[in-house]
Amino acid sequence: MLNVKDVTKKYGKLIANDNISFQVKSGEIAVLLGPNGAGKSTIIKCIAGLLRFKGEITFGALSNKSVEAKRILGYIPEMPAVYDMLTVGEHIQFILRAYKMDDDGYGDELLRRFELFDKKDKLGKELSKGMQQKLSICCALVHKPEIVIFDEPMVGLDPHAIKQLKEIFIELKKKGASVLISTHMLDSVEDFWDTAYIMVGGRVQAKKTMGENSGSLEELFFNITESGDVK
Amino acid sequence: MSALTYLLTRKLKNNILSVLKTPSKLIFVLILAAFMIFTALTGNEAVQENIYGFRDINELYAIVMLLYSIVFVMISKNGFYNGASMFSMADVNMIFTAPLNQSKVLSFGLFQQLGRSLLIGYFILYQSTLVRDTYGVGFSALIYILIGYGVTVFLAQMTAMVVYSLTSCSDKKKTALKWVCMIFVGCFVAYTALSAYKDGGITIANLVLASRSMVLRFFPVSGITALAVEGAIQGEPLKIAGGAAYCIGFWLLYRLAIKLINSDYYEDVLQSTEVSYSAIQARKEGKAAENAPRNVKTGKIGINKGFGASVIAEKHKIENRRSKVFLLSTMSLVMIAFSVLGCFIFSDMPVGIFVLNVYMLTMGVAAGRWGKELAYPYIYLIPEKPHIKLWYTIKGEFMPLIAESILCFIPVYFIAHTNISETLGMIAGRISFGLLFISVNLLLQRLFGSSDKKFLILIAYFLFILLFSAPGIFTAVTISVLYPFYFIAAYFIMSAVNIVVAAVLAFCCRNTLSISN
Repeated sequence: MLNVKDVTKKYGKLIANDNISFQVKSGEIAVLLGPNGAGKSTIIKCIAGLLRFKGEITFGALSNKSVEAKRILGYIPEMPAVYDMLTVGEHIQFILRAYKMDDDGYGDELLRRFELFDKKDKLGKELSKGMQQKLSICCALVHKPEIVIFDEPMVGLDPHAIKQLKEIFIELKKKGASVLISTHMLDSVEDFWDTAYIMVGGRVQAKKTMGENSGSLEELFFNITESGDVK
Repeated sequence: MSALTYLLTRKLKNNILSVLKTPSKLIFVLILAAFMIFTALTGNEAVQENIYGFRDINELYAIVMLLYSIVFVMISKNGFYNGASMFSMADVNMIFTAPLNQSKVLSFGLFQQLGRSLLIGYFILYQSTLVRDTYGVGFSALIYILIGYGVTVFLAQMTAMVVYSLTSCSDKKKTALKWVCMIFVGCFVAYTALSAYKDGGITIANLVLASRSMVLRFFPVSGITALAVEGAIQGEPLKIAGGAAYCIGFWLLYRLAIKLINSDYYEDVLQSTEVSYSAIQARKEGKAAENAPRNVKTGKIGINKGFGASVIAEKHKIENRRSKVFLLSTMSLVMIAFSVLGCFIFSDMPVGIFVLNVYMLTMGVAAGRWGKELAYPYIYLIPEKPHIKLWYTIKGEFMPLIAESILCFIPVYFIAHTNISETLGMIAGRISFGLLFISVNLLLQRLFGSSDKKFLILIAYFLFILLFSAPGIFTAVTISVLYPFYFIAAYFIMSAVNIVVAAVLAFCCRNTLSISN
């Protein structure tokens, strides 16, 4: 379970995240919605252990910055950066080594699903942006993480990859993983989210769970982001 | 094999394979290697004193110390803004989130950085003939200087990390430390200037003498690394050992500081990694980064002049105005700094200062605003004739080129004591070479367009420069040899030849925009 408690992140005087708290339970898919500059990527980076912050982020009983926590985390960044001088296959090998795992063929399976298997010997720099994004997803999932955070994962993907990714969201949920997806493409998550957190101005302004009778996600989003009385 | 070792070895192996598989890269590497072997061989030839005798070797040590100090200050000050940039974006995404020990990851980053800084400092090795003829030392001296450079960059990166860790969460701390650092550096500069002044005036000899002071050895990192390099050149093991011990001590101290201040340093490198990643991506897409100051003063808002293609020139004026630091662009400041440096290196040979200026210009022209403009789609879409659009794109370059050329040679007039006609000749020569290089860039655009064969284009750029500069240089050399008394006239005649060649080239490439890909 991912637990974010009273997290505040400041850059000098700018408060990027202001006392944010939320939870993503095991087997749950949570979406983080919000306009540009709402602080979604900042909280994602805090969870991934890339930023310092005030507050507490835990994966079950583990602090997010511990080595043990990193072992169960999968992070798909907004900017898919891969190693120019490593082949697609070597990326997977590198991750398996870094996580001290044996190759059980899951890497190849992921590459096949994202249509990268035939490009296994291509260098990172030879991949298009969309392919880099696919490889980035494969690298984040190959060690079978229990907590998976996606930062704008659909950007640059072709329809086939989007379909695969949506299937993977469902599979992760079934396997009991906690999945957090940050996006501002509302329609891309409409079918499978369990909980939605809407962020504006560095704060979580609303929480909505699937099945609540408070209108559609889109209506709620626009009500909050366009109301003008957001604190 | 650990994951990080696997990563390093694979990257190295694939880099080598990539060079072997790509002809343009292979040619580039072979040319670099050939130059290197040539300079190593010539640099190691028996040192023969020239008719003027060698210059004071302390001058070389002073230059080394100055270079290291500038590098140290420039890199360390990044700590006030972004932290250190020793990792790639892929490292951030894959290594930082992996269950790896942070100390090992830091060592990995610093190891990568050391490799990169040695690669960047490679240009130092090409100075071997110059250093041998001027100071009477061999190729090995350049190797020592390069190693010292790498160590300085390495420790400067760590300083930037420590500075960022200390100040990133507090603007007050940042401002206070910035002032402390500025005063600290200012004290060393003032001490050097005052020492020279007391010894009889601020001359090169007195500045060099001042640089020998023990006080300057207390300047962080560069003071001692320069001393260790001096020891290596002179064969004094005590100085080398002292320098090595100091650097190791400094490194351990920083490791300890990072651990004590905050063992979690990932944030300290994240922002600068993102900045450099964006710059790399922009470069890959053919968009050169803007050399603008950190805080741009917008000034007067609005493009109120220009209609049709002429609006491009007006836009450039505004962009140039906003990217200036102290009324000059960063590139101009660099050019002037090199010109001043040239005055000290070639104090007895003004033509050397001119050659250095022209050499620097080869890089400055390519980084001009018109070159950046070609990477954006607008210039191709504006409904005007290609040669008219091209004219207005280049037009904005003329005034900065003239102003920069004048400013580069004013210090030469005062420091190297060239006479007015020679100074004017140099200014005219620099302007003419600037125009010629702009035309060569046009030719490259005409021939290669936005090809991604960067190495090939770079080789072609320098070959074309040599080729099209040849008529002017040949004329100047001929006049100087045949009529030594009129050698100043050679500058002006060479300028005229260059301008003619540049005009012919530009005319031939007038339709570049209509056929660009």
